[in-house]
Amino acid sequence: MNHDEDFTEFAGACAERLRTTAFMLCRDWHLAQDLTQSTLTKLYLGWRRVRQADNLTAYAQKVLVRVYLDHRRRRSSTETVTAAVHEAGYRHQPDLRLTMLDALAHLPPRDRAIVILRYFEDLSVEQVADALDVPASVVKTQTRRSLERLRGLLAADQLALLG
Amino acid sequence: MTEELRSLLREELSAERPPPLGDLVGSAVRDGRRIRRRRRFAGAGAGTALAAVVAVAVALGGPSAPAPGPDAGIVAASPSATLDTRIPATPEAMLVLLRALVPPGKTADFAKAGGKDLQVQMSLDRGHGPALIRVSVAGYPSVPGTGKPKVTVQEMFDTCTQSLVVRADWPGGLTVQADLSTCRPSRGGSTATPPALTDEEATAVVSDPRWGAGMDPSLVRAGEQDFPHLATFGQGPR
Repeated sequence: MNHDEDFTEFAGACAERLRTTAFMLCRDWHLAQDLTQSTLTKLYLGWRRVRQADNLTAYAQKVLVRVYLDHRRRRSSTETVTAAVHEAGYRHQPDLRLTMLDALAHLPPRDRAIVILRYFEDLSVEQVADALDVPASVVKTQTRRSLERLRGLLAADQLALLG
Repeated sequence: MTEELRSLLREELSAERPPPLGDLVGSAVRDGRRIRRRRRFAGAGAGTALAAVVAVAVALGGPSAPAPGPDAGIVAASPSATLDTRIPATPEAMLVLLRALVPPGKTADFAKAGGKDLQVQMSLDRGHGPALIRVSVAGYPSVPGTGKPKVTVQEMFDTCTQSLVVRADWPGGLTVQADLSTCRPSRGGSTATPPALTDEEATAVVSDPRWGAGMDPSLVRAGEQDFPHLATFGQGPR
């Protein structure tokens, strides 16, 4: 199997999953599509080296998260945070209950990535630390903080699921 | 908890209606080929240009090519890093900086985290008993970006070894975090102690622009001299 065929087989198998992870990170399917394509392009360019990775899927997730964080960094100077405005309102209006995805969107980008990689992609603390280039202790700290924040944001019937 | 959180996310995702995936893989391959062609072309162009420069230099009897400086490329993680003289940080250098940044008091219990993590600890006694401070540097690029960091202060109620977490997130992605303890181990348990730093003092510590995965050579040299045999603290769950 040649370089392109090998890559295409891997990319075809993981593209959908990467795009889903990207969507959870950014909550925008079109941006998720772009982030996934950028990720796959990076993987293609380094495929000779990338294919030697022990866990190709985890490596692809790592590249995706970095592409996403780079995207956020480029945009951060033009965005404003509105999370604090909505929190109290959601708590007192069950009809406007936050979904888990809504709640995740209130976390800072890197903390959101930690929760998604830990709890949705099921990566270990060490794998998440490697993906985000932070010490394992930071992953543990931020996971705990993020779960606390999510508990505070989610409606009462969902609290039990995190308790 | 893990499974419940995961199933909640899956349930919400199943209600989503994503657009068709389309030829995502084919587009990535085409983009990749285009970038590769451009790089080859740029490389060939640069090679031709360099050969021309060398030929002219030889013809004029000057030096054949400029030699890179001794520190070239040591800290190449970010564009800003190449503009200063920073070299890879060490836990020992972090302790030198931390000791310099805290208010006067008796310092002790110097240690670093295991592995390659840039995390150190030190106790500071300002007359009320020693209290532990842990500082970690994480993220990339390796040095603070321009501008000011966003600092967050959070009280943690479930662990006295990390009662106060003060974090500086620099533009560009670098994070410096200080964990302040309000207890110290004692026979048969732990003894309560006030945190070593106030919120404002801790904020000043984590906001210092000298932190980074690259640090000033003088700090690295001072670390080698002051902490030649640094102890290692555990990395278990806290």
